[in-house]
Amino acid sequence: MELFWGKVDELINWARAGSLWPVTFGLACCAIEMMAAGAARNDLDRFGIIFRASPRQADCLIVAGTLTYKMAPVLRRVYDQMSHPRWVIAMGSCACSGGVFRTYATVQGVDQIVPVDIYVPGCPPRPEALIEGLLELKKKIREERKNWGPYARKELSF
Amino acid sequence: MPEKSLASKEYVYTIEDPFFSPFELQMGPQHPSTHGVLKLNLVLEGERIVDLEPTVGFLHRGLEKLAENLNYAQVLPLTDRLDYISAMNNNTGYALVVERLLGIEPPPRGKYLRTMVCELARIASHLLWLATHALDIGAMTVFLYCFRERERILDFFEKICGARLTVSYPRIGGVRLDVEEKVLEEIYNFVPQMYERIEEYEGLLSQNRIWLDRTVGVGVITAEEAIAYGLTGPSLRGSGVPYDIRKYFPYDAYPEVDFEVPVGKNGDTYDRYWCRLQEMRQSLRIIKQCIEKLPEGPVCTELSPDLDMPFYKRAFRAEAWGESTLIAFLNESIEIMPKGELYSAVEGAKGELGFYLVSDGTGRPYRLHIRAPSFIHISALPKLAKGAFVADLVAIIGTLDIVMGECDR
Amino acid sequence: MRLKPYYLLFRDLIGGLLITLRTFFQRPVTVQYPREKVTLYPSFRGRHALVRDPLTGEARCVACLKCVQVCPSRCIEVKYEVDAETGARKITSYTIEALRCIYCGYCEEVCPVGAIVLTEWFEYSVRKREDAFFTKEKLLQNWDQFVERYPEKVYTNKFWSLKGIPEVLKPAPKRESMCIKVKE
Repeated sequence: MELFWGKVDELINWARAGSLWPVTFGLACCAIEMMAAGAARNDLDRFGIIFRASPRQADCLIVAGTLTYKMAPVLRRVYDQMSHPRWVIAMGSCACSGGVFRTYATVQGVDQIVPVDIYVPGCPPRPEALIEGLLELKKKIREERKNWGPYARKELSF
Repeated sequence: MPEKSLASKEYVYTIEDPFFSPFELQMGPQHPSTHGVLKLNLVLEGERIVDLEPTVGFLHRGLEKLAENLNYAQVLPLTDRLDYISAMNNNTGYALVVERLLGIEPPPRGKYLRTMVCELARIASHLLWLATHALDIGAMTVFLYCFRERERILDFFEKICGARLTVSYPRIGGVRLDVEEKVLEEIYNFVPQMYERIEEYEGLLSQNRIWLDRTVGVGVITAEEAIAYGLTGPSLRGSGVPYDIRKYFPYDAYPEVDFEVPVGKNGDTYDRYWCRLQEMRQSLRIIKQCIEKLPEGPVCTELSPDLDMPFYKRAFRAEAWGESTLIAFLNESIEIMPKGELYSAVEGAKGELGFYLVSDGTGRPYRLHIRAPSFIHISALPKLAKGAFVADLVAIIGTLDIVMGECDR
Repeated sequence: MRLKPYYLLFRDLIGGLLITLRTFFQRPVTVQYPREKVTLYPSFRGRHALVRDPLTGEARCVACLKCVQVCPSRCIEVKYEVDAETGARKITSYTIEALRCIYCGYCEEVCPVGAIVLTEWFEYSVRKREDAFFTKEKLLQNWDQFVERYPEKVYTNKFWSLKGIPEVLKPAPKRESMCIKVKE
């Protein structure tokens, strides 16, 4: 019986990891490298990753760039509008920790606002590094167990 | 802080005429297009814009305040992050203002190298502008083609100095290190290939009836109005004013290379597009001349106030002889730089990028203010967009070439 | 304009379509990333590593604290102790918070003994923030990992030799070109 649930897990995780649709949240310099990752030389489309404009149709959120205190409520609102299951990638130094900007106006790390799954370091990270981060996220999704139906992990906001 | 809402003006919202009574719509900070975080409050009547109010500051990182706490040499990687699409121009602007305050000049090879990479960065910036502008208007092929070329230019940057986007390559007093011969040859061979690619973009867009319908006559601004609003760069030259800092207040190796400044006629979106394409061609011309005329020698002057500088201490008679120079920089009471204030500007890819530096003699700037062209251009947005459709608004934001990293600092 | 033959025969649109058709038959520029490894040009500014001295097998750092002072984001933290008899400094802990680093390369430029480098390794995304706090052992491990894949026998870095800068601006050990032998 456990074998059956394991197979169901595998199937669902394979489907989710195979078509991961991020919502574009490009704020600063890392957004340019995110665009370059989606463009001709490093194609994200061959992984099944299509950038969607609306958070309701997306399952992951790539925060690329510096988050300021003025923009933080907008990020939280966009994150809240995404439906479960959802994952967050913090791309670049400014999103992971505040980066070089230890100032009054910069949030020192996106994980103060939303829970983050993968941190991609670099300033800005190469497009290939972002692709590697996305592949890490796919690995992480594949390792999840029983995240569907009545067992789905719906985290409450903190 | 409560924002001033447009409802404070007298717009009459009536129920009887739902199609043409004005309603307020917010084009929020999270755009699907990639101009960064800009919030626009639109008052629309049907599809026509009646009023427009931009809100900036969503990317304000406190860069100018941070620069007051760091060394002169440490501020240089911060200036990379202003106009992050063409990072070499910002670094050159900052290096120029500090050099002018100190009274030093880079050696000729340093000047030519700086000019060459600044022009490469200008081409990269215009390629990205064309990619996103065309993508907003609907042409997705141009986006992919432009990024293909931009990747080649970023490869050159990586070969020169080790990073693709946020290089910190120009240094106060010259450049950071020398370029190898093979890389110069590759750039030299890249120039004719790039000419062919620009022909391709023109073939896809310039005579295309859809492009002409969407850009001719859209966002018109006359020369007097453009000067009154403070526009500079290609947005000003599209209206017929031939103002270019590289010609009027030349710096680096620009007096020794020859190039032309393209000037438009009508001041609409199509003219600005044409100006930027011609600027790409002129930049290629400058790069070719720079490589041909590149002199030998060091790339950084000995008087450079850089990370480890025994010579500079002697030049300016600092009192901290036994300590390392960095500690001298950090110690507030030692006079290292001449006191004073200075403004100097370079021709960035978007317009006139100016740096205003106030120094009180210590190793940290007392005040560094950055005159960002994007901030000034956003003030012209309501004028350009009133009376236009929402679809034209997208074209207008694209043609002003706004980068929020620069606008908000 | 509307009745000219150029316009009626759609010559402008067909011209554009011919360009895209021509590109259709050219070789694609896509690099199939996970299968084809990307070749990086040397001295790309990637993951940090402390160089392991080939003679002693330890880190070469002498705790001069120049990298600590020069880092713009202040992500390096060094603790050292002074030896009582000789007066020599020895580091006890050396941490880099890699998630704050902006990869400017100033630390590898200013280090007088060539102890810290930015290697060309860029694939190190982490799941928890603590994994990216590099301690001294982790940095030495980074160096070992990098050296395993390094093709040459001698390692040099452009930011150590700084070609083109007048000699008087460089720290004394870097005035001749500095290189490390990594393999036999």
